[in-house]
Amino acid sequence: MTFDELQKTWQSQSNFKLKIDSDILLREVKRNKRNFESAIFWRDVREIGAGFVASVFLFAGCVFFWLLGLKNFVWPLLLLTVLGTGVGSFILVDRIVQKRKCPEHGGTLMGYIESSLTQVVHQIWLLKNILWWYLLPLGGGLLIWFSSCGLMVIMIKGMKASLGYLFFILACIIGTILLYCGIYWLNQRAVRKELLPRKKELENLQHSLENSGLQV
Amino acid sequence: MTDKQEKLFKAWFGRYKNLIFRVVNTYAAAPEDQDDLFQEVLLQLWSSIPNFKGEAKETTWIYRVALNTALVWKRTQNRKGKRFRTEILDIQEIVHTKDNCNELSKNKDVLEQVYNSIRQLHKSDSSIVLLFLDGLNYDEMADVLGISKSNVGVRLNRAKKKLAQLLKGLIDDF
Repeated sequence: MTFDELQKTWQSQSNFKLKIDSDILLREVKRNKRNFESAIFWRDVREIGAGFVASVFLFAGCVFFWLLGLKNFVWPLLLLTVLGTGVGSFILVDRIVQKRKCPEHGGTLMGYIESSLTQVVHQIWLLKNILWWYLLPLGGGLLIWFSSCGLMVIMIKGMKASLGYLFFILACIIGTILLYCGIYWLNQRAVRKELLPRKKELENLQHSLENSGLQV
Repeated sequence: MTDKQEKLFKAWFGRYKNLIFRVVNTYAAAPEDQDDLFQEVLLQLWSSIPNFKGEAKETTWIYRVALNTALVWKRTQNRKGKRFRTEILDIQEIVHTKDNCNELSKNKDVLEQVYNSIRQLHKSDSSIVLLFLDGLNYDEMADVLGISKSNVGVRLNRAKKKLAQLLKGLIDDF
């Protein structure tokens, strides 16, 4: 058989008929699209909205301590509020920017691979640097808050009387550090197990289309 | 926009469902994977309609959407989370007359062999072979893939050689 004959045989495949009710299909596609958009929306609400709600509560806490006259509690909490808002804003801006760069399915294969690759590279950058833009600001803010609470308790009650409180604060600090180590480990694992192989796969695809002289 | 989008989607689906299925069949072998990829392509096709300005040919657009989706598609891990509630992909063969039954059955075996071999190729090679077998010319292939015409020629030749090696005994072109 020659390739021309194979081509003819291939094109005879229209003998297969796909029996699908187009109305049912359309309904399902629309429902699926709605579900997908709703999942993305609620993911954003969870991740960004929760951050901003937490910031509002923290700010309310600042006001509360201010009104109670416990001004020494205000500045570390205010710092945490600012850092939390900063992290939330960073995620929000990043989502908006990345949404605009989303690969277009109707674009050429090469263009699609390139923009998918750009997105994966950005995701890798985000997760590899999660320490700097997420863990350190929030974790640092929390540690400063816990430490200042400890100092305040010692100043108010004295060292001996505040041992119980100090142990509790120490447990909170250790818990926070362990939690943040876990978050860091999970993110680096995602980079190693999912994103780097994906990047390699896309790069292979890109090279195989680009370099007519290279074997991939 | 939604009415127009619905009409266009239905029209495209009616005209090009076999084209989409050929792409799906090239990149997914198991029926449940085919169903999953088919759904994904249709979803992306629906989402792509607002961006379709008519600058590209309809077939070019649909090949792009289908191939782009297929190339980055990953098998759904949890089949319980199926996206469509109803089984939409019901493939049936047209009932054949006795005269051409043998020939069609032979063709079916050949096609199965070809699909299996194409699936063994590198993803970019399989896309170019698919476009060639579907009868696209070099200009159209270059348009779908976003590479130069000369590059299409080189890549196609190489992919055909690899396919011929995989289909030893069936293809005697190379």
